Amino acid sequence: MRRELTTQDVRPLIGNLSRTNLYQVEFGGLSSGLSGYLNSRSVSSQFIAENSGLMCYEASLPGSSLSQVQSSNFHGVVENFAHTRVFTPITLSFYCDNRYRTLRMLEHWMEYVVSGNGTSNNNYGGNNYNYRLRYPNDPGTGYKSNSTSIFKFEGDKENRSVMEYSFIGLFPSNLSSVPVRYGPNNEITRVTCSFSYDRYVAGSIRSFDSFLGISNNQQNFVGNSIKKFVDAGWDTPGFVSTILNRG
Amino acid sequence: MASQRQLRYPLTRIESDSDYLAINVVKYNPPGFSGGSGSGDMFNIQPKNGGGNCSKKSIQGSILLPMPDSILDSNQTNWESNSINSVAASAIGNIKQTLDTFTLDAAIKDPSKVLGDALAKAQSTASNALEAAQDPAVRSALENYFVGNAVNLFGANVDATSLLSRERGLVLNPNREFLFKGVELRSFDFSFVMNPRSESESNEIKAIINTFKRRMAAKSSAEGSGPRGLFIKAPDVFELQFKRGSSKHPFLYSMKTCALTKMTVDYMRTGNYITYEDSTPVQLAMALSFTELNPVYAEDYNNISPNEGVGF
Repeated sequence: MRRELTTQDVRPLIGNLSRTNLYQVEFGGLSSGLSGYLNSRSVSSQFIAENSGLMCYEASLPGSSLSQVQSSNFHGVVENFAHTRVFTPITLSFYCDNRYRTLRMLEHWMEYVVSGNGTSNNNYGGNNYNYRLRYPNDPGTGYKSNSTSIFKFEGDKENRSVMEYSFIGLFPSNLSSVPVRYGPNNEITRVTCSFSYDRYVAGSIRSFDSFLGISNNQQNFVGNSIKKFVDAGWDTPGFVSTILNRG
Repeated sequence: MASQRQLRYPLTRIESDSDYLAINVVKYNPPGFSGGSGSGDMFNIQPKNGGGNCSKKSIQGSILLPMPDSILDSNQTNWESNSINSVAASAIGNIKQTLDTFTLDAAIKDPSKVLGDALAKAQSTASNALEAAQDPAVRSALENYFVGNAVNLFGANVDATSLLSRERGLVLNPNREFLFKGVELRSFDFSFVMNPRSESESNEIKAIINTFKRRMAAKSSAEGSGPRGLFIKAPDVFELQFKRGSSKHPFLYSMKTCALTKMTVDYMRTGNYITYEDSTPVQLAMALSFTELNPVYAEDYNNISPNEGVGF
């Protein structure tokens, strides 16, 4: 039934819309082997965890689709049934800093995937070098990231809503060629890379949030209160987070 | 498998809601010939000694695999179209009457008499049939039929039915029916695409393939196979069960003990030779063809509750 609405009625709703330019990308969960490999290429673990995501100037919140099968048990009617959730790769675009750490991170991450034969020997540049893959999920040397997230949030401090997307099994799969050219001096070098992943979860998948009952966007008053308490820095000795083994 | 440990792919933890295919490797017990001891089950050789009922003590190890890409079952019994005309049916009935009075002693003492009696019975059947047919036209047709069959005894190669059809436009009612012929054994083809995710998982896949290859092979020097080269012993057999967690799968079918008849491994499923650092292929596909040792009978369903899936 149609409701009679005034502008006053809808103002709280359409006056508080989400804006696209407030988001954050955070890479994490890289194996020690991959971190070490990148470290040796001047890409520190701190840069990967804290800065690389900030250099991402364009991202997309991930999407998925449901594959379907059809049935015509009722003649003339086609019923659709979902059977498999398909996750599509995401594309992230980065500014490249003047030490090329963003570019190096992506370039050498992809190189690491196929560096099963090693790259430190003289043979790497030789014409008889063979590529071999690294194991994707090996605890020490795997190339997949299991803690990369995209956070979507809003600017006002009162609104603490965060939409988090947690990626499982993410790795760079398509690093686009980087255009460089003679032209204006103020053009920034930009790097675009597609990432494949096994799946994503809308909401947090951290064990700490799971313990509090607020993972996967679940609402839990007690859990949310403890989270606010910890996030606000009131847990300075780290008792709660230590006890709960915040992951 | 030498240590009889459990092999599984993938190596991740199996949860209570995980579906998977459990395969036990079992030592083959030949069915033998001896049936039951009582008169009621003396011909029942399968339940006691049959290969499909290998004892739990003979389990050599187990392999847990993910649900195959394709799960099909095909239950089949053999039926065939059969016909018998009324005259032949009547003759058989009379011969059976003769056999009712048949004794082994009489057949040994005077076989020619027993055979003669049987032929006389058949002859009288033909005569009776002709007498029963009062209609002269039908009588003539039947006579042609018998004549056709009679001359065939001397190698004339005449189709008695064709004679009848040619002369009268009639054929004897073939009383065609679809008759049960026997049972069939079920076969199952499963294929698994395997991607080693770590070195330990690669070793597990290698062990799984090795185990299937070894256990499906005949044994040339096994205990009880006599001097080497004289006999070869049957391979091990496999008990397959779809499971959910630790329970039987609540929907899918059950399988009797199976022989692994064929195993195919595609080591280059990526289309070209590409491996991990220790030369493990990046993706493999393993196809297994199993055939049950025993047919499925209606009584097999007696002990399956509706919660245990669709049955065999």
